[in-house]
Amino acid sequence: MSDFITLTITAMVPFLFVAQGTMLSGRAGIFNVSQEGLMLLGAAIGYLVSLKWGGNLVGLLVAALAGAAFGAILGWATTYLRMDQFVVGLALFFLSGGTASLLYRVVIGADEPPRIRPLPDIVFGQDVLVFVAIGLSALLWWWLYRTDSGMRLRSVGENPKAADSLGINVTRTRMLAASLGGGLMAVGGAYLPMAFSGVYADGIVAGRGWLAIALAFFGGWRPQLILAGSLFFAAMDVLAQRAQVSGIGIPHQFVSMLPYVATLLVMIFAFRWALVPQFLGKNYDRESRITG
Amino acid sequence: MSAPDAAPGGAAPPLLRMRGIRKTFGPVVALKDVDFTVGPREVHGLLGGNGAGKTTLMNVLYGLYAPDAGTIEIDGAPVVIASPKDAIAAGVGMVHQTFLQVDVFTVAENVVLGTDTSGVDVNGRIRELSERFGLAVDPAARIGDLPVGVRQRVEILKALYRGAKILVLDEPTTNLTPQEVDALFGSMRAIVDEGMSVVLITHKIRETMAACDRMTIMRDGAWIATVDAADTSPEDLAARMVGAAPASDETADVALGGTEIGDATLDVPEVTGPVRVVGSRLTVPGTGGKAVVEDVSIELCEGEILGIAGVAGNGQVELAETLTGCRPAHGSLTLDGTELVGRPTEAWLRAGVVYVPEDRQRDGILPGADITENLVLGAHRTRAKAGLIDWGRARREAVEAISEFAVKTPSAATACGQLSGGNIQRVILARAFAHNPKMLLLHNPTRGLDIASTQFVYDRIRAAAAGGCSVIVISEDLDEVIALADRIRVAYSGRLVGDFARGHADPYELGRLMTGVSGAA
Repeated sequence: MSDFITLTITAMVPFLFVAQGTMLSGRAGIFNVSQEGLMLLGAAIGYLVSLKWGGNLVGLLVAALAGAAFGAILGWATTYLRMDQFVVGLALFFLSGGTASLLYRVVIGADEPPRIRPLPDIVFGQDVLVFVAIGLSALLWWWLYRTDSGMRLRSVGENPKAADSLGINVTRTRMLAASLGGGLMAVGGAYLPMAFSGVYADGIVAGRGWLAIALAFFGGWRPQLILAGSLFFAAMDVLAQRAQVSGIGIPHQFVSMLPYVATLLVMIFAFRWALVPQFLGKNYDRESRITG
Repeated sequence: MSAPDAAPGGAAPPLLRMRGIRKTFGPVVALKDVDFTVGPREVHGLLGGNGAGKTTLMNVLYGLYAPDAGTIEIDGAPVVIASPKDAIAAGVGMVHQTFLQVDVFTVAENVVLGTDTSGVDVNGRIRELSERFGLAVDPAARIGDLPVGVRQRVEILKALYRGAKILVLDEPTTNLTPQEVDALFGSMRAIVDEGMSVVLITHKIRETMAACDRMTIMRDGAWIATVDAADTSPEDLAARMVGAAPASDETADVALGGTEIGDATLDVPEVTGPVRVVGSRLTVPGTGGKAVVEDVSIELCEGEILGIAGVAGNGQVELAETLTGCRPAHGSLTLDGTELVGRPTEAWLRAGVVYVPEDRQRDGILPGADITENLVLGAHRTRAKAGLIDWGRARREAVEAISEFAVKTPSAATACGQLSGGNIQRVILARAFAHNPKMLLLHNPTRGLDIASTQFVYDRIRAAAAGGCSVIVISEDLDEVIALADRIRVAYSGRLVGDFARGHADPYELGRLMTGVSGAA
């Protein structure tokens, strides 16, 4: 049982980073849907950099920068160019996923991949990123709900026109949120080879990126609820793997389905809480003259 | 009348001077080199019909629109305003017609948003401003839960909190009851008494006469005149607003609407035709046990116009959809004796119930479809031959409708969404009258329309009634209801209250019903 809890907490980390990144972008109105690709990119870069140029920490940092760059592209395309967020997000999903695969093939080729060193445990058999992820959630909560700049960021996702009319730079806020969010997503991906497999594989993300979007909705786009929700998603993830490996009497596909079912239920019943940022996925054009 | 750049009150520079402001949107020239000057300590009316460019000019001042040409001076010093941030720094505050508020934030959060709150007693400061200017609010309340009148006070507080010297109010009396309008004008006086100036954007002459020291009239994106309130009359203002266009005498009446409430209309005989529409105990259940339309009963004679006044959000949309068969309801509604409740919307339309919805863009037209296609909507089955629409006939009829309803459009093949609000409304009316309505329901039929289109809509409504059609006008513009209706009722919280015959409705009594203060039903 304690084994199950330990595994669940480890499995929680990628969900937590990626869902918090999704939340952070979304709170400014940028709906990123390229998590699956950005995680793969983070995994590839995290693995390759750790292996070739200086260890896990540098790997994480470079992965974060790459993710931030992709996030910035999404921000730029949807603010300055006002392109459709969903279409750009999907394009970035393919682009980042493809880039990940390509980088790996260029550097490693078809050889047997060497393993990188796992992240060292600190306490309770948990590595440092577990605590970073939890601390980050607390920090995001404090930033969004306790500071002026966090309130500004939230206002941009709720009503950018109101924010703009009060002198808040909507474009800059969205660029910042999209970049930070993209960075967190890639970190979530980079964690996978460092904590689990030790190597990169094209299937390493295995749908966690899509699940993280569901988790953002599940947690009502609030950092504290996303933290709680990530435990549930991680537990389902661990259960599904167990069901697959050893068999626990239920098909593993059924367990894998549960987070989605839970998210649907939450969205149906929480619909009236108005938990989703009002301008999620919607671009803002100051001079648009659409009259009601 | 003084020249626009003459400084009022002698040698002191004007508080605000805008010169030669030009703004184009694509091929449309929205502002034609407009000059606008506001003196210190004055309420300055910015008067004009919809589409005259009043809001556009003030959006330029507030940094929301970048002008193509022109300069702005505040206190005699030139300023560059490229964003609302610059405008706030220069001492300009603006209350937009659609409030720019974050619904999920509290009053206090909305007020301080974008400012540095470290070391500031936010609630204390908001309370102090509230008291000083008579703008009562609860800083801890969630904005989305508040009624329109309170939300407006929050908007004004937002500007005052930032130290605005010039406060721009864009059509602030829309959706307010007469009592709330009085309170607002009181707050405006308090603001001016403290040394600031207020720009009141409005299309209502009565309001400028009641509240303003000076006023600037705009028409078609151009400056027309700037006059002192003491040197002008409502008729003079109306003539300037409407211009020398043909039929300007008629349209001037619309501009003057509400300046002399009730007086001229007392002689009109009460409509007493055979009863045509009987709705009884109509109820639409809502979420959480509270009905959105509750126990509504109505009765209309042939040729009668029933006006339904009320503050937005009191179930008007739901009521309109219920009375036109777009929304399932309990109860009964008969038209010429035929029961319609429970039957499909098409049956209502076939029976002669026609609906002109409030949100023209969203509910009234297909924005991407052309005028011909929009005119065929609803009649697509009767115009069809063997399941195919007879486009030849549809196009011929569209061309006729365009000329009869004076729709300004390059052709019948123009996408409806590209037309102006007034022309979209003309297309919708053309379609409505093509159905030969026996009961016509219009919701906010002139909102956002210019004077000529407003007049056009009024003429059509009156003509329909004269032809025996029963008309229901739901409007949040009390003056409009009073001008059009033979009988007036008030929508409050999903119910209909009050029942006044033409000429017997006191605006203040209606105002009390609109806010639920007076319980009489």
